[in-house]
Amino acid sequence: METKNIIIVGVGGQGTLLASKLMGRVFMDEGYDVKVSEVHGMSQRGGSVVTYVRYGDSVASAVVDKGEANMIISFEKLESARWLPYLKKDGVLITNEQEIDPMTVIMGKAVYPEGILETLREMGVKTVSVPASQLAEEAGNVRAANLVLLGVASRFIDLEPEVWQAAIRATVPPKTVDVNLEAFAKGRACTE
Amino acid sequence: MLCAGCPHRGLYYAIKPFKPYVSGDIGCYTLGASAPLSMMDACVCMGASVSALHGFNTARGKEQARRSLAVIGDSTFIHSGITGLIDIVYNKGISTVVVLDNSTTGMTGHQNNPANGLTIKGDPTSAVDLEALARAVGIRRVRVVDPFDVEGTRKAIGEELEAEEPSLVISRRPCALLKSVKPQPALRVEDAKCVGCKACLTVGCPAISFKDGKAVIDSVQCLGCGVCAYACRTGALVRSASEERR
Repeated sequence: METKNIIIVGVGGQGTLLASKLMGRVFMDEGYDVKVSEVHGMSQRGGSVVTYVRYGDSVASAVVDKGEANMIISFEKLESARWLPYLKKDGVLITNEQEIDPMTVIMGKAVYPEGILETLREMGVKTVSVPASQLAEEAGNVRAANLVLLGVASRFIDLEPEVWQAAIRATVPPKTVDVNLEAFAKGRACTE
Repeated sequence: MLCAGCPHRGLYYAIKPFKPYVSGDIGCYTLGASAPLSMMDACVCMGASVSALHGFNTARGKEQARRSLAVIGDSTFIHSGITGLIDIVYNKGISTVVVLDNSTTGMTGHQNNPANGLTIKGDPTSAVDLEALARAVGIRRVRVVDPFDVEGTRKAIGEELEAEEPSLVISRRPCALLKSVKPQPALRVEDAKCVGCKACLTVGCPAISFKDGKAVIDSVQCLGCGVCAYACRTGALVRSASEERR
């Protein structure tokens, strides 16, 4: 099969790394060759973070080039716009509706752009937006927004939910398994 | 930017009023270079903070030494900061060096190092005693401060900048992201007291934002370090001890 490219973007501290680790495990369990690469360090908390997940029969490079992502999962609205050039023409953009002000906005040196989702849709980008943080809070922990977004993403990946659930049990801290399964279910049940 | 609850924030906020020339190094604390803290003037390579400061202070004399310091993390200090410190003592310098000892190697992903008592695999081992090491190379003024005690840290560093002999200040507080570090209750904003002056935004914390003329603290991100409360002039940032962490 052709190699699929997924980019997970967000703000440091939102759980993007766990999400990519979990996705990597799902695809490995399914027998794919998988490469996961994360850019972190400068952004453990508060900065822009990106991880790449690539899977297929044989994956050599871990990095996704511009215009090559089949899917972008964005944990924050502004980040979805920042990483848009990486999306394929027919790719899907899944984004959390949460807004996190970058430091320049907090300091009053810049303004948080308005109408990001509207602009994306006007441009013809296949955009799925969900209030992931709110749904995570309903599931029992606002920090589980990453699993809500994976739940949404799972609708676009041809795998049974049981595969995801097994990977969740094997990846997240034991105490948080129930909350994370619930968050995943809420995301998967989300239809726009 | 630095993480919420990062011990480096307290140190930088403590030295800001001195308007110092800050000779920086490689690590998480390099992020202190960005606004609003803006507390780093140079950053070249590992260990350069100490040796470059020595060069600057030698070239420009005592007055400049009173308004300049080096910042270097514990692991970078072990890597190549100690060599510069030896030069400062040997060459009769008077520079002030601050070791930001967060008990780990933060930026590269929490590797242990020779100063924190654990091997790279996490097994207990002997730790370099930074205070004893500094004294052994001839530093007589060795001090340990807690960066969350902003006033105490500021006073100590002020004294060391004035001192006409070399000093080593160890700013000691473990990285907020270490599993062994338990977060304190989040601070909250008392709306009645907040006058919207934005002084709290000058600490550059990702947990603090500004909405509708008032400061807002994100209780999920806030780890309760309390540095922002030092910045607040009206006492509007308070610790909510009774409120349980989510």
